[in-house]
Order: sequence, then C-alpha cells, then structure tokens
Amino acid sequence: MMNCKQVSELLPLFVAGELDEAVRAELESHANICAECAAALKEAKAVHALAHDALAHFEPGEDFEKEVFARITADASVQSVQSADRPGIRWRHFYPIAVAAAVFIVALVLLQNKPAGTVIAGKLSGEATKIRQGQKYVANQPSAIELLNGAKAFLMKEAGFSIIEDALHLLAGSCYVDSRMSPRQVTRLATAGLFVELHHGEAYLYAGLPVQEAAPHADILDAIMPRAYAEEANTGAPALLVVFSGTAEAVVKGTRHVLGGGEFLFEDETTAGPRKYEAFLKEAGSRIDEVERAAQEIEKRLEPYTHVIASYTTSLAGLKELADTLGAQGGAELEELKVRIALIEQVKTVHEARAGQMLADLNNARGGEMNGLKARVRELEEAEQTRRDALENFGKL
Amino acid sequence: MTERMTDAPASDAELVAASLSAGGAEAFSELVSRHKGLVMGKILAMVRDFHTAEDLAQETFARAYGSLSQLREPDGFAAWIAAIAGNLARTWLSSRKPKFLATPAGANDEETGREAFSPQDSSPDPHETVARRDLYKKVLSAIENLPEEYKATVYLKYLKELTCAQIARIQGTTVGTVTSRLTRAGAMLRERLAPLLRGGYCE
Repeated sequence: MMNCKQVSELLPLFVAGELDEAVRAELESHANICAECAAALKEAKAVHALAHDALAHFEPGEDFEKEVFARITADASVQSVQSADRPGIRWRHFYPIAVAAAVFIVALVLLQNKPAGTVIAGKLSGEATKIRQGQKYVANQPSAIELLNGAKAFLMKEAGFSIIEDALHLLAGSCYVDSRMSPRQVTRLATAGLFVELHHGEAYLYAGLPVQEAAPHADILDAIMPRAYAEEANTGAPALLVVFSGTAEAVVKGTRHVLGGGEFLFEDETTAGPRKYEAFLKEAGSRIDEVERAAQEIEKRLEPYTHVIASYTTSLAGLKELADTLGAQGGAELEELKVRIALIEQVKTVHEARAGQMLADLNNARGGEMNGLKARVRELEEAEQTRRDALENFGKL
Repeated sequence: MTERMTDAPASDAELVAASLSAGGAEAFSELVSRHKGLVMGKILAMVRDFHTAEDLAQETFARAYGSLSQLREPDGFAAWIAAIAGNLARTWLSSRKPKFLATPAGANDEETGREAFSPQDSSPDPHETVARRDLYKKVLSAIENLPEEYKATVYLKYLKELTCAQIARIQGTTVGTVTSRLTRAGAMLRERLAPLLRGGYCE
C-alpha cells in the first residue's frame, strides 16, 4: 500500500497522465481513504489545469509562424527592419500621435542599419540588392558580393549564405573569396565546421552538403580534390578550405590551423581528405618498413641454412662417389658410409624444409602485402600529383 | 516532413539539421511552433507588454534562423532560443523609446500603471477578465522563475501535452531525466500556485 509521502511525490506525474494504470489505481485508492491526500490530489489537478490555461492564454496564435517567415524572407522593407542591436518595430502598435516620431526613429534605424554587403555582380534570389545581417540568401546563379571590408566573395550557383557580424557564413555550396582589395583587414568566413580568418589572400570555401545535394557541386570539388578524395565526396562532402595565396587561420572544432598558399583543410581532419591521405602514407610507410625488416630478418636466418644445405650437397656428392669407388667389396667401411649418407640426407631434408618455409615467408612478405601497399601508395602519390597540378591550374584561372 | 506530435516526434536536433538543409522552412516552422510559448513566456516576463513580446518573439526566431548554423549543440535548441529571447528583451528594455513618445492617451504601457499585459481578449465581463488575466500573469511568472532547464519541459508537457517519452525524444535526453524534471517542476509549481487557488480558481 502506498503511503502519503509516496502519493505526494507521485502527484505531478499523476496529473500529467504519466503513471501506469496499476500505480494510478493504487494512488486513487489511497486518496479514497485519506482525506489529506484527496485534498492534495484535488489541488494538484487544479494547479495543473491553471498552468495549462495560463500558458495557453499567452501562447501566440497560428499566424505567429507566418510572421516569423515574413521577417526571414522580407528584404529591406519597413516591416522587418533588422539591425544588430534593435528588433523590428511594427507600425500598428503605435498610436497616431506617435506615428510621426516613430517614422523618424525607423528612418534613423534604417540609416544606422548599414547593409552587410552590396551585390556588385550577378543577382541574388528575391530581388535583394542589399545583403542584410543574419538573413539567409541563396545564389540562384553565380553572384558576387562585396563584403564590408572590401573583400569580394564570388558565390557559385546555389550557394546559400548569410552575413552575421561581418563574417560570411556559407551554409551550402561553395565560394571563392578574394581579400586582396582589403590589405591589413582580416576577412572572416565560416561554414558549419570551419571558422576562417583570411589574411589578405584568396581562398576557396566549400560547405558540406547532404549527399544528394552534393552531386551538382562534385565537379567543383573534383577540380580541386580529384580522385584521392572522391571517396569523401561520395559519402557526403566535408567542409573544405583551399588557400590560394596569402594566409588563413582556420579554427576547426577548437583547433587552430595556420595555412599558407596552396594549402587546404578539411572540416574533419582525421577521417577525411588530405589528412587521411597523409595518415595512410605514413601508416603504409611504416608498415612497409616493418615488413621489410621482417624480411631481412628471415634472410639473415636463411643464409646459414643455404650454406649448410650447399655443404650437405657437396659432402653427399663426395661420400656417394667414395661409396661407388668402394663397390661391392667395401664391406664394413661401405656400410658405415651408407649410414653416414642416410643421416646427412635426413638432416638435409629437415633443413631444406625449414629453408623452404623461410623462403615462402620471405616471398609472402616481399610479394603479397608489400606489393599491395606499394601499389596503393603509388596510386595515391599519382592522385596527389594530379591534385597539385589541378590546384596550380585552378590558381591560374 | 515529420507529422506534428506523433508518438515519435522529430528531435530538436534533427529539426535543426533539417532547417539548415535546402527547403528547411517546414522543419524550422515546427521548431517555432514547438517553442514559441517558451520564448513568449520568457519575453513577456521581462517586457510585460503582449504586443511587444510577440514582436520580439518573432524577431527572436527570425534571428535564430539566420544564425542557426552557429548553434554548436543542436540538442540545446530550447536553451539557445531562450537565451536569444532574453538578450533581445534586455536590449529592448535598455533602448526603449524615450518617454515622451511612449504614452499617448490610452496607450498600453506599464509606465502608465495601466493594464499592459494582455492579448486580444473579448470576454464579456471586464472584472472577471482582469482578475483572470492577473492570475495568469502570476502563473506565468511562477513558471518563469523555475530553474532554466525545467521550463522547456513544462511548456512541452503543460501546454503541448506531450508524453514524457515524446519530450525526451525532442530534447535528446532520457525519459528518466524528463520524468524527474516534471516531478520537481510540478512540486515547485504546486507550492507556488496553490495559494493563488484560494482565490477560487477551479477547473
């Protein structure tokens, strides 16, 4: 049977409908015979209903979501004045006397609310000509934006982006950034996985996309990261930064990387891209060394066997010749010779078997595994060379 | 798109991820509808004017949408959105319109000492309405005074009437955690709200 303390503890779950039927029944039967708990139960029910009603009373209506999206998609219209430090102001909440003053305030806000960037080429979706803080845009065709510090970002088709506190946030697709027009000013770029400070130079930024959406961008990625990274591109392209000139500092998951011209970085440095390639080379290299050391070890042990077996062969040949010379009248001497020959042949067979095994091990090490590793390394080295060539050509564009 | 409030609602983290991909409007809309009460409550408790609060709440979600990719822990969407709401409300309070613009005759404004904390309400009995509204305000501020991590749970349970399992799924946590939050929040609310009931409110 439940006691009063247990009932009291279970009341919030009881009124929230979160108790099993059996526990409910037990609690109710206790309340039936205990006036204090019955009162507590009634009170808990009333509190629950009151909280529900109060919350429902202040819950915004169905239009709320629509209003939110109107703000998100609205361009520079009065209704969604957006600035870094001031929420939007809606006209209908002002009484007529205040309207004139409000117009003045809104005009001030608009003036202070400088656009985060100006479209200088191409055209962005929604006829937007000013890029506003925090709003999301999609480039329906290749477009260029001049950032506030003078740097230019060239967005590839279908690149999604927003500008938050002067940093260009690439949400999808890729862009090429030229910050050479703004010496001494750092250009800040970001994707979901990378935060980049570009110091006077050019860089290419790629934001990872879900697999099915990565396909249209595969050609761009492929031009820079051919073959060696096709694996990663197929399983969901990671965020990528390629620095053509100048330097970039990229913070990836709390780790800072300083990159120079021609260098690149993947969002996931341990499992994807060049790091993976480097890791493989390193691992393959040490594995090849290891196999080679083992092979040399076998060779060292094999060598005396080879000599001994050769000497057995020589001895046997001599002894057999002697036996032939002794011929039928050899007697006891011949018998002793025959025993020696048989013994040496026995030992030779054993040693030959051992040497044969070592030789097999040696061939296996040098042949199978090592050849496989070397072939894979050669393949990756070729791919890396292709990538370097492509990068160089891309830089010349 | 995930149906709203089925047995296995999409978690906040999943909706955040979906919002970030192309065509994520529907996912984000679901996040808005799920947490608009929480955001409204937070802002209302600070600015005390329903229309301003609604305005700021919409702004909160619009801004969140713009910087969604910066959200480091998608499981913590509720806490994150509440923090943005708090910041916006604080900014609004500190940079509020100067007094000479604020109170044309009859305007709702707390500085006038008049009732400012009300959504559209067309109840026929003004006295009853005022009393009830006053009560609801107290309830709301009691909820706002709960520990931060209980609030989202309270909204999802009391307002949206989801089960603990559904809430756990949404918050990316265990049913045990939700149950214990609900137990403690329930006890705290009863302690704080029971005295209000003596005013005669009954289901």
